[in-house]
Amino acid sequence: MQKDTSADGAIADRLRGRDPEGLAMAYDRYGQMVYSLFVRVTRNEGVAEDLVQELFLRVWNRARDFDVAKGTFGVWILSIARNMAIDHMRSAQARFQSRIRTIEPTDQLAFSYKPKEAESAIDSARAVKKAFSSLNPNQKKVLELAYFEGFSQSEIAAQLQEPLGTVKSWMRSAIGKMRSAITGVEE
Amino acid sequence: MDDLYDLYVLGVIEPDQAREIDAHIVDQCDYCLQHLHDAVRVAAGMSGLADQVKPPKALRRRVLNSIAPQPSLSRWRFAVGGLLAACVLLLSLLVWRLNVTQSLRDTVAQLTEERNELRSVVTLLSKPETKAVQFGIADNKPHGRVFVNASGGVVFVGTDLPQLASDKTLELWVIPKTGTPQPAGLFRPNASGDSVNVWSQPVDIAQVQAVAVTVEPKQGSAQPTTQPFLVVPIA
Repeated sequence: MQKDTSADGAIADRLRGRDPEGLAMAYDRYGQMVYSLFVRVTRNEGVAEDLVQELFLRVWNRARDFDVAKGTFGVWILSIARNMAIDHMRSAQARFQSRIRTIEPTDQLAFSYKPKEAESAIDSARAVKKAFSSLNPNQKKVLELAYFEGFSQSEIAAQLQEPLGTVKSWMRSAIGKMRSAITGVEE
Repeated sequence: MDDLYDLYVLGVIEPDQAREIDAHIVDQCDYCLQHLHDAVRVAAGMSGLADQVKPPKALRRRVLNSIAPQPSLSRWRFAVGGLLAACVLLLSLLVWRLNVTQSLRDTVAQLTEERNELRSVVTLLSKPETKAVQFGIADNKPHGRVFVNASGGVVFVGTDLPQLASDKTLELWVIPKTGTPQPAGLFRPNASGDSVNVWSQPVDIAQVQAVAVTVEPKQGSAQPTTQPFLVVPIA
């Protein structure tokens, strides 16, 4: 597959130079993806617009720290977008207040991500979408509940009224296929 | 086991399992860090699962405006505000200076007037033909001296004079042997009841019967409106 990484490098380069055109390029490349993600998680277009603005403001404020050579910008912005969406939903819904953990700490993990070779988050997204279509309905369901709703496996088991072990099995196989679609390593 | 890293990155892992991975991250465990980085890639790629929705066109402008430097309007506001504040300060300073200047002028005018009166008194007292009459020698009653000079006029020096209401004044009268009293100046005693009044008009001493003092309205009177509380015979 042709790697689409030069655009991320150019964006990161401009952002590090505090060039507003860099943010415009970032929006043109990732704006629709993150907006779609926010709409999917929040089911509210107004909130999604607010989150998009907040996300790109974060990008601008941390622009100096992006690694131009590694092309990590795409991974970072998509990871942060998903975490922001889930945190927004958790803070907006009381039923989430006492559960599990905030996602904020994993932002840093995404930010420190240093791939061994240049890669494109957009290419990864395409690969994941293709792999997702090959999952069975149960695998799709548990993956969507975890990714878009932020549910833990025990919560998913309770919601689907399935044994926890069964849910874990579906989750493991679903994530394994996603990972192999990106890393090329068969599970 | 490896799917725990993905659950960790997604923030949906159970707390006890999360704590275990946290500890490995702190220890810089190579195996965990590599799997976590793979999980980050997977999580980022999963954003592609959302159905694509076109954002409103205005959102791009809104995002870019959020990082645009504020227009110079705010700087202008600051500058205009500062200028206004400086103007107000200068105006206040000017008014204060005017008030101080006026106050100083009033003080100088008052001192000049008092100095001129004292000069007149000294001049009049130093003349040998000046006639001096003492009045009232008891304490707590008005007492003092009246000096009369044909060319210099009348000087009234009083002590223990009555305190007055703010709308009243004392008025000195020259009482002729025939005819009506002639007004010879308005004056108010100080807080101690002392006062000096100089009336610098030529006087025909032979025709003066007495000098009197009455309480009059603040602006003075052409003729006495009250009984004199003090009459000093001159003849």
